[in-house]
Amino acid sequence: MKRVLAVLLAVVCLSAGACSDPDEDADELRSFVRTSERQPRTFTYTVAEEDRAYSVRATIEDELRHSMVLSHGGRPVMDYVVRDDALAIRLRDTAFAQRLANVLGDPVVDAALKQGRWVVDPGGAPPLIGSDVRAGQETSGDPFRDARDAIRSVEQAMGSARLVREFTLEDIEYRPILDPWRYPPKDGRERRYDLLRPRLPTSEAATIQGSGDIGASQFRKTSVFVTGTQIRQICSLVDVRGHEEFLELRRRGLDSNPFLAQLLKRIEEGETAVPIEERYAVAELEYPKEAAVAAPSDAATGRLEAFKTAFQTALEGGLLRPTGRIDTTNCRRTTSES
Amino acid sequence: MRLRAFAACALLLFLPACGNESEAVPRRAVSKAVVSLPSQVLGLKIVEENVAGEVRGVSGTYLDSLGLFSFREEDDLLRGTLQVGRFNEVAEPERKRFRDAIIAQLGSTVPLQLYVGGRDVWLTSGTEQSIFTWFDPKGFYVLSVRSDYSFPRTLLRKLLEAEPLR
Repeated sequence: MKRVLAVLLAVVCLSAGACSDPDEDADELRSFVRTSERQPRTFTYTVAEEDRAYSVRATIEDELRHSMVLSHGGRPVMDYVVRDDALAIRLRDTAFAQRLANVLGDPVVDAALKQGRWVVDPGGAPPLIGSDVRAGQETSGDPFRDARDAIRSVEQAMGSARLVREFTLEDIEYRPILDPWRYPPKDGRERRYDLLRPRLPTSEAATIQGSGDIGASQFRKTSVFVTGTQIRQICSLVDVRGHEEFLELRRRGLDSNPFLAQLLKRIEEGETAVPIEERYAVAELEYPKEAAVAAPSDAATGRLEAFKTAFQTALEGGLLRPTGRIDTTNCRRTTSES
Repeated sequence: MRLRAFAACALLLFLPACGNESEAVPRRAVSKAVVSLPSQVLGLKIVEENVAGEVRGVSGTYLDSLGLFSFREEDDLLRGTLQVGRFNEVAEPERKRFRDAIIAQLGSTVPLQLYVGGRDVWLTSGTEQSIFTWFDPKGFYVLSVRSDYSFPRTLLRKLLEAEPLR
C-alpha cells in the first residue's frame, strides 16, 4: 500500500513540477545577490512613481566608492561621487540648481555649485548605518541610496516574498496575464527568478486587527534575471490597481466582497499603516573588469551640509516630479512574447 | 572612549565561542602580537598600548597573540583603536561559523557586511563609535573609531592596505 502511495505521490509531483526543495531557488538567488554585490559594476536604475521619476547611472567600485549621475526628465542634472569619507557633488543643470534653494552653502560652495563646478566635502559621505529604508516603505526616499542598494534590495524583497521560484513556463501555477516581465531566452544562458507575492488577506483579522497591516509586498512583482552567477536585471513593479483580486472585485461589483472593497478603499485613500504606492523600478547591471571611481579634479572644497539639507527638502517637495511621459517599457514583455 | 573598554572587548574574543566545544583544546598563554604598522596614518599617531595587565593570565583557545594600538591626534586625543589578534593553528578563519561567532561578540547592532578593497568587512556600532571587523588567514582586526572622527572609512582603507599581520 505504501508503495502505491509513493508512486501516486511521485506522479502528482512530476505533473506539478513542484517537488524541488522550496528553499533551493531562494538559496541560489541569495548566493547570486552576494556574488554580484562583491563585484565592481555599472548599472542604470530607473524609477517611476506617481510623484517622482528619475534614473541613475552608477559605477560601483566597492561599497565605499561609487559615482552616480542623476537624470530627471531625460536630462542629467547632478553628479554624486562617494570616495570613502568624501562626497563630491556637481550640478549639471542650472534650472535644477535653482529649484533646490536660494543658497546652497557657504559663498564658495554656493558659487561653485551654481556655476556647475565640483565641490568636495572631505567628510561628507552619507552614513553607512542608518535608516536605509523608511519603516515599512519601499525606499529610503534618497535616489542615490536606493540606486546604490539596488542589489541589496533583492534580499529585502525576498524576506517579504511568499516564495522565490525559478521561472519556467512549465509551472502550472504560472499565469502569463499576471506577469508583466519578459521571458528569459530559451537557450538557457539567462535564468529568471520570481519573488512571489504574499496573498491578500481574506479578513480584517489578518490585517489591522491582526499581526500587521498589508504593505507593498502584497502587490510587488519582482523578477531577477541572472547570467552565470551575476545578476543582470532586477525588475520590480508595485501594482495595486492591476492586482487580480481587485480586478475581479471591480468586475463583480464592490458589494460582492465588502472586506476587499474596504481594503481597496483604504489603499486608495492612503490609510494603510504605510501608504502603498504604485512603483516601477528596473536596474540593469554590467560587470566590467575595472570600475574605478576617481576623485573629481579641479574641485572646490567645502562643507556640503547645507546642500544636503536643501536637496532633501526639495526631494520631499517634489523635485523629481515626473515631467512628460515616462518610459516604463524596459523589462516588460512584448506582445509577441505573450 | 577609554582604552580599557576596548581591552575588555578584546578579551571577549578569548572565549571558546566557536568550533567544536566538546573537543579538548590545549590553551596557551597569549603573547603580545608582532604587527607591522606605520608610526602615523592620516596624521594620527599610532601607539602600541600596553595590554599586558589585561592579557596576563588569560589563555586563548584561538589566539597566539594580541595587540592593541591607538590612533591619536597630536594633542593625544584618542580617535580610535585597532585590535589585532593572530590566530593559532586551532582557529578556522576560513569557516563562516567561526567568523560569525567572533563578529557576534562585537557592537550592539546587527553587523552590516561590506565589501571594501577586496575584503569582507563587518560594520557595527557601539556607544559613540563605529566598529569595523575583518579577517585574513593569519588573524582578525577590530577597528573602533569615535563617531565624531570625520575619516573612519579612509582610515579603514589605509589599514586594509597595510596588512599589519604579514
